Amino acid sequence: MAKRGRCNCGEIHFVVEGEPERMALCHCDACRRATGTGHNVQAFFRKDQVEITGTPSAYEWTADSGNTRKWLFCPKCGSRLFGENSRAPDMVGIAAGAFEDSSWFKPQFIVCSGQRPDWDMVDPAIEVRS
Amino acid sequence: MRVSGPARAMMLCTCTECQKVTGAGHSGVAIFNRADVEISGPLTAFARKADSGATLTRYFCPTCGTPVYAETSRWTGAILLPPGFFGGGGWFAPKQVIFHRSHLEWDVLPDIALFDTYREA
Repeated sequence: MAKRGRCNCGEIHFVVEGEPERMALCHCDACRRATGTGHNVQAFFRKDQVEITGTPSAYEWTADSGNTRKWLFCPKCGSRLFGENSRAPDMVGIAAGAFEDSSWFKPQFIVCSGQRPDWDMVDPAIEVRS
Repeated sequence: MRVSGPARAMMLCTCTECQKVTGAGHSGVAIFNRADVEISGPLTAFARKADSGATLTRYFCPTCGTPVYAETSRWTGAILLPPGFFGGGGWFAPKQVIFHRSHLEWDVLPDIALFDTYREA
């Protein structure tokens, strides 16, 4: 069944067909600032699985790794929606909180765990990759 | 942003609007006196009436979408700041979770007081 989601104001919505290639939780500085919390959670799909309606604003920067990263968010309400990385140009990360029903979501691994704030709790059973 | 006074309250919020805005399972909220906080730079505002009848206005950076602060008509004179804006905020220590009624199963919360809606509700 298709997975649907939207930003807080409804200006931008999306439909995803099929299952995510992977699901992850990241504590890096960019992810903490982008969400305002202790981590970001994304489900990664191939771009050809995702249909987006509306035009998100984009912010691009070069990460420490040298890869170009891009955040896409709603220009009207600021909701965090999508993430892209030049390392995997055919993929798009979708913020788990943007889905209407995210009961299928389960992060498989955690990255940048060294930057986790003490107050931010994660499931100890999840694999820590970095 | 420069904050000169202590936080009046710190919490996590699992309401559906905070989930949409952050893209995560909850927001972090540190409440300060508005008069103690100086903010500079361009901002975009988005105001919305909550189920409670209160108006919540969220301000974010128009260039990168980073949430900067919020204000609520329930508590004038207060400002709501996201700990992530401070690079994580080592000082941040949430004591309660509000709007736990819409908590998502995959979102892990600390062992603190849980409230279905607001604490006083």
